[in-house]
Amino acid sequence: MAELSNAQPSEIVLRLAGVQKYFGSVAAVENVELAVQKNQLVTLLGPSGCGKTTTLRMIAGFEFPTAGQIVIDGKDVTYTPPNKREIGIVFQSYSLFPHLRVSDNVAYGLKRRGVPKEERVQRVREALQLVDLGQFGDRLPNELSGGQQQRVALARAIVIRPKILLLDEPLSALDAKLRQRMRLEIRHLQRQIGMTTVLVTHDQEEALSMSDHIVVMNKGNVEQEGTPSSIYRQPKTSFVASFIGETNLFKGEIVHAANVDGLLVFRADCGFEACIRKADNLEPGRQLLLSLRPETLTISPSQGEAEASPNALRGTVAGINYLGARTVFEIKTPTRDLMVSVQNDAGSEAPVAFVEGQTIRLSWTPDACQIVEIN
Amino acid sequence: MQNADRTIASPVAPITRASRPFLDSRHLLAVANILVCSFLLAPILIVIVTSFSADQFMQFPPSGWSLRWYVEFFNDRRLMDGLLLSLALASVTAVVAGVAGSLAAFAMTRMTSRFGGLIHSLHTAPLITPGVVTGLSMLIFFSAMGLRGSFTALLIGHVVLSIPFVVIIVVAGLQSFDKSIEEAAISLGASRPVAFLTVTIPAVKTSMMSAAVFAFLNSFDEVVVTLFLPGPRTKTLPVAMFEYIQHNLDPLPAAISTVLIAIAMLVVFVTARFGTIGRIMGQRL
Ligand SMILES: Nc1ncnc2c1ncn2[C@@H]1O[C@H](COP(=O)(O)OP(=O)(O)OP(=O)(O)O)[C@@H](O)[C@H]1O
Ligand SMILES: [Mg+2]
Repeated sequence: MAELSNAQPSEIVLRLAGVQKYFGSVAAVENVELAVQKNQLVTLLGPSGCGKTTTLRMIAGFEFPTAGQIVIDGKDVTYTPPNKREIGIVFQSYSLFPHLRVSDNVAYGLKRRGVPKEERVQRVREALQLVDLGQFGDRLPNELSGGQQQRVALARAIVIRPKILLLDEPLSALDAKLRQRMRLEIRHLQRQIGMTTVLVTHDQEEALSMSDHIVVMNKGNVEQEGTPSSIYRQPKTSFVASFIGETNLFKGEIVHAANVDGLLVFRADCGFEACIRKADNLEPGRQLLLSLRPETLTISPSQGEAEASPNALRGTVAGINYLGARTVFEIKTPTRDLMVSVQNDAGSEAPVAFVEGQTIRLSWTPDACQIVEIN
Repeated sequence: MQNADRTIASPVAPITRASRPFLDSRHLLAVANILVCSFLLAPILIVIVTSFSADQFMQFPPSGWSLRWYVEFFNDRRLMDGLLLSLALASVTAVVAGVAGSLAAFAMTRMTSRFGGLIHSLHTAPLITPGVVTGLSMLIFFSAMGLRGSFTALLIGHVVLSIPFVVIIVVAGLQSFDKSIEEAAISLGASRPVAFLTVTIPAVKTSMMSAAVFAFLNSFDEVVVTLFLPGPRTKTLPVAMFEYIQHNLDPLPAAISTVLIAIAMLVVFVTARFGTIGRIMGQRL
């Protein structure tokens, strides 16, 4: 399987072109374009009901699109039945065969393919070892923990060496701790064996941490796609900005250039003002959104000497949420409340250097300001 | 058992005992349970006791004990024919109703038609139709067909009466069966029929098995509709016994009843065992 990971990175394994799915008059998927490169892990991310599962089921062949085309490995498979598509799928509920032992669960796909017994046993053993369940072949599914069942489902899907691995919210039934570990394990495994993977999730953290490429979906359409960091740092729509991570979002417009440093002034409807970097498409008077991530804001004591910053204002601490690694402050300002996230210093005994009601100074750089189109 | 519990619990027992009223809800529940069980069991026990009577007439309690009514039963040609007929009929009914009802249940859980609810109601209708009405309608129908008094008529009648049980049990089993299990099999390369045979059927096998047992028992003690389909080949054991009671007052029917109870219990016991064995064998496939 190792030769797979040396393949050309630009080779496209899966392509969805203008795919649409109606259930009666309900549009589950309106228009999805997607290109998945070989050995990449692509995530479909979006809120409940946005059509992620429907898209995945069309890729698997359990639903046929109302319109559009699905191409796998250069072959049009839009209407190919699911058992002819060479696809591995892991469902949210694992869907192990309850009456079969773990090894027979994993062997199922190989049996259907007529793989001879000896090779079958060998491949099942390898697959179970890969997911760290070498000793569990004789167990029944209901004798395993949730995380173990999850891994059996994974082994069962990859043992057939599918062209594409589909994962539909594979971690949502696990507890927080296990979910974190399985994220790493799945990602590690996916890299190790080189497996083109489409993951569906509504958990933005899962998407950010596991994906090579994220496709954000909303109401049956692709809202934005890109690498995790580009999705997070340059959201193109207000939906993406607020769905991925936390943010302070302002509606307002550009007013005329305020100074010579190549900065513009954005004025929100609430009166809040910020200096932002000049860009070509930012002509004054246009209605836009400004997104300020909580971690890009800096809090400092109001009486301390202030370093020169074009963006600064006074506020009072209205709330403190200590979250271990970081602390989230709610800051009351004359215009509106802002969320500020501060990384906690590991050595410091008192990570929270501010108290509720304290007056503080809030500052941020022009680069922290992300302009988002209204749509 | 109780003693052991008490010993283990002894360190805290005084506190618990002091705070518990003499007759709390748990006692009331126990009393109510014992009463209900008694009411359910008493008639059966009385019949069983009476069946070992040495008396000439049915009376309780018997004045002496013997096995003579069993001997009488096993030597009675007509009653033995009835027993064999009942066993044969119940077995065939279990198979036919089990298969037909299960297929219907599969169809009902998969169809998307808006008539689904109506079709389900139709399949369970015999459950609420009064027995005499079903009996009369079958009498009219089978007379018109020229099947009156035949085994076929009886079989069709019993299958119709048993299908509601099968449908209800198998539909319940299928509803708890996650459809994505079948889809997983299909994605692994199985065609729909193969996935159905290798994954779905084994997963709901136990429900189908208990459904067939219900069909068997339902047919085995059916009287009302069977009475409406009289003929030389339709005298099942319950019907024969019913006719016997109209002319005789001896304890023979009690012996028959005890045999009926024994057979029913045997069927349940054996299939319960077979069910688990089947499951274990399924695992080792
Ligand atoms: N078989 C169906 N019949 C009718 N409507 C459907 C069907 N399947 C999905 N839908 C509808 O299509 C829309 C998208 O559903 P889908 O299951 O793809 O959402 P999702 O993004 O996976 O959501 P979730 O995160 O809750 O799983 C929903 O509004 C849903 O009600
Ligand atoms: Mg879904």
